[in-house]
Amino acid sequence: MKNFLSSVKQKVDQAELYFYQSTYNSVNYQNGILDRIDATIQCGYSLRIIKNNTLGFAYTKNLNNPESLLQGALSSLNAGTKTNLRFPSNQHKKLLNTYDPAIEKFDSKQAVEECNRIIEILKGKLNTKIDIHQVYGTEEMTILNTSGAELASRFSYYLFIGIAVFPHTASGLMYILKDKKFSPVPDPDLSDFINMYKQAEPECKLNSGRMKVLFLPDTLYTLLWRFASGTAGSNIYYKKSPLINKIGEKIFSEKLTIYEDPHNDNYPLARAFDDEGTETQKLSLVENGILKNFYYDLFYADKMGTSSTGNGYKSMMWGGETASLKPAPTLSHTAIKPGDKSLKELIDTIDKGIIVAGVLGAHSGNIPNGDFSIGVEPCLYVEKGQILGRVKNTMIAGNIYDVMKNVVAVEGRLHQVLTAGKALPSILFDEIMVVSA
Amino acid sequence: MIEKLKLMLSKIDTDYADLRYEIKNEIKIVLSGKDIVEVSSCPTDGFVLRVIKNRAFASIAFTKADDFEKALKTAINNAEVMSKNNGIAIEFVPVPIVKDCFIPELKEDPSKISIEEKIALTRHYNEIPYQVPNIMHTDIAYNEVIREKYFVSSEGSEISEKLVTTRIAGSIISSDGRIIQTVRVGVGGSNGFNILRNRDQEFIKKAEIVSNLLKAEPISGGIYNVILNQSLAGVFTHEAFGHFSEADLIENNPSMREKMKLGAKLGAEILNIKDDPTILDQLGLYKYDDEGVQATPVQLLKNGILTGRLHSRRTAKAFNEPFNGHCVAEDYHFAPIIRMGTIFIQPDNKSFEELLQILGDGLYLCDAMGGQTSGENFTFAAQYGYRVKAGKIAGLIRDINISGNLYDTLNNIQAIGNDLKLGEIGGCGKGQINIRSCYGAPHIVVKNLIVGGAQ
Repeated sequence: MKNFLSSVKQKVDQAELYFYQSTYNSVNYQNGILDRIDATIQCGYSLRIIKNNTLGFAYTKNLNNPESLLQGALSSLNAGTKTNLRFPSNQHKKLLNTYDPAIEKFDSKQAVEECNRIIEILKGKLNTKIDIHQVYGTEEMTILNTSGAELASRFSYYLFIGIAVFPHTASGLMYILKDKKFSPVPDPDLSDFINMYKQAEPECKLNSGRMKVLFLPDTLYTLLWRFASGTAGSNIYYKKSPLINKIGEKIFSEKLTIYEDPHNDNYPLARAFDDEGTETQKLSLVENGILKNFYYDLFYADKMGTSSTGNGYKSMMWGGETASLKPAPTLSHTAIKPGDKSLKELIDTIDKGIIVAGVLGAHSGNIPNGDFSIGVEPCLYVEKGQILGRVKNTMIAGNIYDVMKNVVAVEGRLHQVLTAGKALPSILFDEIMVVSA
Repeated sequence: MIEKLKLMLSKIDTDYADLRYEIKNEIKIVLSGKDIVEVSSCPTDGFVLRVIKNRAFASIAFTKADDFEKALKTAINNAEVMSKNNGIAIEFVPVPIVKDCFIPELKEDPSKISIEEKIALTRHYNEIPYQVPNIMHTDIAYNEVIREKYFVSSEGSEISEKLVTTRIAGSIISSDGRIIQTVRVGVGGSNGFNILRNRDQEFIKKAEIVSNLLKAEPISGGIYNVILNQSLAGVFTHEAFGHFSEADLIENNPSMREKMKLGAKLGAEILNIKDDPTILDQLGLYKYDDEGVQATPVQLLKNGILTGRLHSRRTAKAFNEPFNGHCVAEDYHFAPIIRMGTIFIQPDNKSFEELLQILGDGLYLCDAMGGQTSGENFTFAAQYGYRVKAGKIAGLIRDINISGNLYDTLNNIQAIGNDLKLGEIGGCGKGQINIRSCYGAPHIVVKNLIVGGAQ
């Protein structure tokens, strides 16, 4: 790779070569039975070049012909994408513990044993369909650039998702565990999961109106996607954010503190540098309800005359081949500061309201404006602090810049989540419009 | 390539194996506002291997041909683990052995159009919205994907297929300094570059709508009778019903499988739904799925009664129902899963004017903006809509998301128009992206849909 970069350097002003390789196994149970085991071994390369302040980009999966990768990047210069960005020269200073070699010894036989253990416990307690999805493996990335950066990281990853599906539906309660190595599901977590499922099982009815709404951690992405749109450096540059000129203003409840926490290597996939080689940082986004910062990659930081915040990642909402993606401003390690209430205390606070245990259509609607209007599935109904059951055919709607001003309380514990965040608490909001058939 | 794959396959000693190699040529021209932020034209490639051993099934996707031995060992090991742990016993339904090469006819092959011309056309459509007041931003992109697929199986099938997808699509954003409104816009298809030409009107229409949405009335949450336009009725068909007709989504869900038995009365008598990947010139066209099975049309619902289901070889055997070639992968990253091809509500005889009279008072909702389903519940968003009073279209409305229950809604379809239209953009994100998932419908009248609203 170094030799290739050296040869590229002779033809351009700046260049950056990105390489990744990954190996993952996934074990899937449907209705308590081992359904399939899939695996993947992938790699990819992308090349960014800058010549006469013009940015070029190309990518490939197999680097059989490096010259054609360079030619692809050179021909893309004709599009005339102007930039003054400089690839960072910083070396990898922060040492993070992102790799646990124990993952290499974990195999599909052990994965199946863990699934069988969980199925056995749940089968005796829950008379319903149990699905399990386990993913584990390793990933490596390397970034070299002509400013002198030579960065490499290795990651190990383990994910366990368990779903107890409500009868006559295809949705259910979900449990998530993530780690850098295999980690068995703790018994207390299983007990909590079983208890919540049992409380939620009966079907009940709900009258529409404004009420308290408790978002469980894994449903907060509905709100955070809209917040991420509002604070992205690209959207600030193109003026398609309601938050322009609002740094320093109170936009949410003082109970909300939102930040990027890429260095917390207790969780898997912590990052010392982003996908452009910029050092990452703990970045305050909202502190006690006050907007503190927007987030940038190199390209849009240059456009805005500021510095990258280390949020340039090759990612998009629906996945895609990593090598084929150009870095873009991305919130990848979002956390919300925990409050002081337990989940039970939050539920106790609800005189009449719902718990959002799953959402449908979070990607729909007018995201730039902060609007959301989602199906709630499963939707748990709470009266006088008790979960009475689940309600079908229910929607909630609002705008995050109204709703997130109205926080009753934040849970005192962070949970790792699947989408759009790293570790989030449950959050109880008031006065959200709920429509139920 | 087929010979190379056959050689690799000859090293595999399992009950069944297939190997797919794909080259994916993708061209992206991305504009944000009036700036071009990306032009790329890159080929990528990879392999997918699937094996059955002792009635256990495993798959692996891998990039390098050099990793074949390692991939094979992993797949066989995983199949053995499944076999020893009482995994679901897998059998494939027998299908004809096929040796064929399918390359659909194109109206202008995009690979023969210069990148400069593609950039010029994308820039042209991107400029159009800015002629309309209050347009603040556009995100418009040209996307061309050519999948060259090579498939061999241990049963002897040898198939190559080349699928070309082109589109110019994105979003138009308006603002009056107080609120921001967004609509989607797009033209495209699977039959060549020509479909992208002379489409100014689509961009003018959407720019005017998003500009007018700034003054539109936000909808109040509640239960409404509605007319869905073709795009929205198509998404409804895809989200609410179509996913339920995919056998893998109900295969291991006993209560849902009971509800979705062939012969079950699920919808209004006027309702007929079909999936047909073989319709020429439509986005969803393919001849062979990624298991090497020839695609056939499936009558899913006839007079409201469930008459068919979409299958892979595995589920066709498990359900003891006919195979129909609906097992499709996004690309070389994935083993295939069951997908819709071109799903649509078949037209009836009502004109749009007659549908407005049948509705009386309610809402006329237009153009999809994303949707999702979870079992019998679905939700989807409309880009804009109108109030309808006494059969007449009245004021523009915004902030429209709809939710409902599959069975209730299928029975609540009151009337179906005569104006079937299939979508040009489509797409579906069931675990993998399927950019050629095509859906459509005529206008339809539905009663009692839940519309979410913050008012």
